[in-house]
Amino acid sequence: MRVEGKGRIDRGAPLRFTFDGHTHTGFEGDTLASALMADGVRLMGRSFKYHRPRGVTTAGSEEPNALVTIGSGARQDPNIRATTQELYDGLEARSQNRWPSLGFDVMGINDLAAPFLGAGFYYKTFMWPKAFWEKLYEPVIRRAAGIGALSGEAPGDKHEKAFAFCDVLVIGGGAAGLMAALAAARSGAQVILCEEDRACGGRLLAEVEEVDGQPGADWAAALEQQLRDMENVRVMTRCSVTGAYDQGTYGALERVAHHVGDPKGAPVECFWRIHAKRAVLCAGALERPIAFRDNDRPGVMMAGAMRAYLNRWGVVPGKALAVFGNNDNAHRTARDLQEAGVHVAALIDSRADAPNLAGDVPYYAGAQVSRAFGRQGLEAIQIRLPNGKVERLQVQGLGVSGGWNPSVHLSCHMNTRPVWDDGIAAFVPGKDAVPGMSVAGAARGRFSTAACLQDGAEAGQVAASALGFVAEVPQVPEAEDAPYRLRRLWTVPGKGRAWLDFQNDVTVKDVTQAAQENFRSVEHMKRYTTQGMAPDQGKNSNIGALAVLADATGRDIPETGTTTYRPPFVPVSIAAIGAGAEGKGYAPERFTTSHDASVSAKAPMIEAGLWYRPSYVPRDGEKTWRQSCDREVAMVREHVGICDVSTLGKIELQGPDVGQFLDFIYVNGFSSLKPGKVRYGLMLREDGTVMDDGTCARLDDNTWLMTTTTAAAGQVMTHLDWAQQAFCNKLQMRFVSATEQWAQFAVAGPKSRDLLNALLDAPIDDASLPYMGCVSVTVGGIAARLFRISFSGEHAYEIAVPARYGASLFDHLVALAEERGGGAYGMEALNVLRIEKGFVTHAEINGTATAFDLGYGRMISPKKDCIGKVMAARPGLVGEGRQQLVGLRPVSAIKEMPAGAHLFDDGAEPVRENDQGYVTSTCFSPTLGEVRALALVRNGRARHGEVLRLVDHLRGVDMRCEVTDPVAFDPEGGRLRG
Amino acid sequence: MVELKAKSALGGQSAVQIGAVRLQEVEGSKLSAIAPFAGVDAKLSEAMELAYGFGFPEPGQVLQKGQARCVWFGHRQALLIAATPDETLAELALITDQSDAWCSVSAVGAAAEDVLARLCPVDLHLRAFPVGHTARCPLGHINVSLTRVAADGFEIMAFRSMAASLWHEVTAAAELVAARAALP
Repeated sequence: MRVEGKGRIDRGAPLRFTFDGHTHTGFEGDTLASALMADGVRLMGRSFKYHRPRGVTTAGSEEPNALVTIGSGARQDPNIRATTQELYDGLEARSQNRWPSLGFDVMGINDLAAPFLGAGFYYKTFMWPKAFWEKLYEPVIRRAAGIGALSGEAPGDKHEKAFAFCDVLVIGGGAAGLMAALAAARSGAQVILCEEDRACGGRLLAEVEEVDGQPGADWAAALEQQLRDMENVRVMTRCSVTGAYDQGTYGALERVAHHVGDPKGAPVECFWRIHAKRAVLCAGALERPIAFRDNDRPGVMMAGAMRAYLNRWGVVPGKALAVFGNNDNAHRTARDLQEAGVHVAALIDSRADAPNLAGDVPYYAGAQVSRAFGRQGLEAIQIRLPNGKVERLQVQGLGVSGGWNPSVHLSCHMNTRPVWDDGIAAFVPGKDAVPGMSVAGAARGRFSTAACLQDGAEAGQVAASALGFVAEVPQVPEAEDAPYRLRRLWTVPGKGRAWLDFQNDVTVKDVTQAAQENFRSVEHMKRYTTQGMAPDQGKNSNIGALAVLADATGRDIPETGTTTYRPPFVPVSIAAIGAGAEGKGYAPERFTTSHDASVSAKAPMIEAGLWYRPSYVPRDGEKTWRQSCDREVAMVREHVGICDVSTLGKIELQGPDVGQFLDFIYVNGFSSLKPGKVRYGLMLREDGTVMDDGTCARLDDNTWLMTTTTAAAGQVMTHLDWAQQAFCNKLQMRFVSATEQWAQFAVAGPKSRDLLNALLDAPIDDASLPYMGCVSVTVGGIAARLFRISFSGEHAYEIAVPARYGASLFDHLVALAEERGGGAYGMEALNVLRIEKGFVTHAEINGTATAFDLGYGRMISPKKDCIGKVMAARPGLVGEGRQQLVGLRPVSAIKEMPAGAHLFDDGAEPVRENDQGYVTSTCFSPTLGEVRALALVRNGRARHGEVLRLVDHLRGVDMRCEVTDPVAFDPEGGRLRG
Repeated sequence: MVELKAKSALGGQSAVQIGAVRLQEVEGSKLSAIAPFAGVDAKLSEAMELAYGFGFPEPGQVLQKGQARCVWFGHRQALLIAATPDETLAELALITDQSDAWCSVSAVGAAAEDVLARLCPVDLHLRAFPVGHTARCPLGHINVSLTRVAADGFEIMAFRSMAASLWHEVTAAAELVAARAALP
């Protein structure tokens, strides 16, 4: 219900929203939680395991109970904390983890079965039979236990990632953070201030207190505005810093458009990576509960949260309220309620000697709340008086305070443990926990407003000064400076279940049972009970649970220690982390200049690394890829074909010492290559296996052009950089990638020269351009490069023009080829052509094959050294034991020889021990009229003519084939040179 | 005689204004990679000074005289823009035509910095990255050369083959930034 005259909401701006289909009205400035509370809704969710009715517990991002789903369909957003969801007109929220309704939840039966479902029950109960776990138990448990779900549709909202940089990052915009930001900003440093809430102020927004003679919230708003007006400050509200990482990197989640119904194309969330030279952690503190019987009833909440609802939003959870605490701070709640005219039925302080600071309220010193009543909403509490008698009191709301825990989380993200401070009975950040990050205010146990302001101001000054800025500690305004007094109380003893972890349904008994069953380490207890493992990551329960564990194991709290705090501080959606990587966003696409022409010709494009290349280029009447492929192969063998080979890596090398460098890179000699000539080369990795192959042309005395395979272009470039910098840095030569500069096309087939002579400004012949030669030519006056090289075994060329002319040249080439009975061909045909010729690709250069294996052993020049030469000669890398490149042809009724199939001696069992090798490449050769394959076979070169058994265990193929020479077509190479 | 028609990397993509940033393909400049041979860095710088009025750039630096520019492009590597390679340099350095190898897009406007902050992990604040600064960095998953050409203007160069992806990345980021600016 609303409290007249209270709250910082705009009562002139009503907002309609629905919760589980019921329409409610709130106001601008409300959160979903405050608006529901205003309408008397206390039941907001069902617990994870027992489906117990739960209500709102906190007023911040630590909320364990009031998790709802916002929106539906593609925009369905589960597990949104009602406490941080700003209200907007038309908001649709639904409760979670209940069926058929929040009020009547069938799975509430779990609560009755609680005696069987305690700590470790999964481990004990669902052990046998083993097969049942995956098929039966786990699905059933997962269905019963749970939180919200995604819709299963692709996200309808946009998400974003971004980078930010600053000198000083201030994490948290409460009293300490505002002062830290101000101190740093005035020095001229670049400052980013991140505040999780919609506005700065922190607890000042939730308290009745003055700063500098004005209401704390007004003071904070004015200072926030002052900071926003400074050129060197960036105030990021609705932005939670989620993690501290190496070298001053921080992750942060900004809720950009969760506060509007229609983002209109804006990202709903942005995941920031902030790089800060210094950071000041001003994350404040979180209030902790006291465990007593049924302390999870809707209406029981943190005392500080109850105060926030009253002071910030003008709402209370009922007509009669009570407050229970072990510290002075809890008294403020009773005081504020009473002053606002709300009926305070009792203020209960567990300390017998604590004076009443709340004014005229019924005060129970030395008493404890021992039980809550009311299943779907709090109806009454039971108070145990110092004399042992109990009293029952009708209330609809109870504020509980077991003290405050500094938000040390970020300080622990780089593995420093927090330190126990006995004075405040809480952990504080360890010293120098994160390099470059200091901690100020309540986050390190300075709880009064005055202490926070002073601490923040000093920390901001220190951070800026450390970076060389001239910074002063700003004048600190006057503020509340009450001492924080408490006497620890974690649980109220008694029967029944007293809840520690609301979100994961862990009770005091679960923790003590874990200790009894010898899960005494805090990390073991956590995993055995699942305490602290829900979306709130134990923010509300960790300290209480380990205090109970300490007690149960007879140790003190520091000795018991904490579990590990890990990022993220608040849940981060995968959509935000992965923003930009949806669809094809995970990698750039590389398109050749002929891409549009291939797509227009309806060629299916296949990926080759990041490149897209045509698989085949279909013609009318062709129904299968094989028809197109066979036709394209025949076209090249009989007429002329055109293929875009621009994707091959091209590296241009210049300088007088290039030949010497290439001698060192390639196994074969290159310094002897004459200008105008091309040579095939093979390069090895350091370990002696083959890295890549390709041709290298000497364009003139000083300039060379190396080509690499498409797949290894980047790897070869890296390899060359390494070789030059590590071994050849005195050589007069440099190289640069020219892959993108040139569009290059293969013109292959008996009519290739005829075609080129129709294209080139001046004709060529065998004398001007023999096999393995290269020349400069012009096409329509444009300078081009022409190489006579072949990957098809035919008389063939590759012609290169500057990329801007690529599309145009491709069109001309295809048109000229079609006039000659040819046309464009794709990757399938290219593959068939090279398999027929026994040319290798990375199917054979597979990272294990040596030059010896591929039959290129004699290419390794004995006259010079090269990378990998020594290692390639190691025992075991040459000889009969090696799997060597061979061809295969079918000799059984079954003709299929799939790549990946394994080879065995004829008649041998097809088991691993008998393995003789495997098929690397396969195709139907239209030229030879049968299936042909390449394979790596043990001692293969000596076994030509032998019949082997081929078994593909995966595809169920079992056939016989004959080992042949790898070169199946035109072994003499007459067609190449002709 | 056949006639070859030239086509730019983005193939005539017209300029777009998205919120407070204008994105446009930059075409036509002569680009040459230049990389000194061993031990002649100082000599090359002197020769360039004679030929162009600027030397070889330091890492992250752009040197300019008139239309001609030299942009640091990597370890002992630079890109000469809008300058004819001088014959005298060939003995000291690799000089290779790269005019067709790169796609260039300019991003100009008050939101240019914000748009690039979605894509590039580089501090682009004018104080840290003033006019005349350049960096090789990722833009999304694309390796680019990023140069500040004005207080509110950048030039982004990527492999020509990645032009479509580059355009997609910057326009998509610009749309998010523009839509965010319109939020209440």
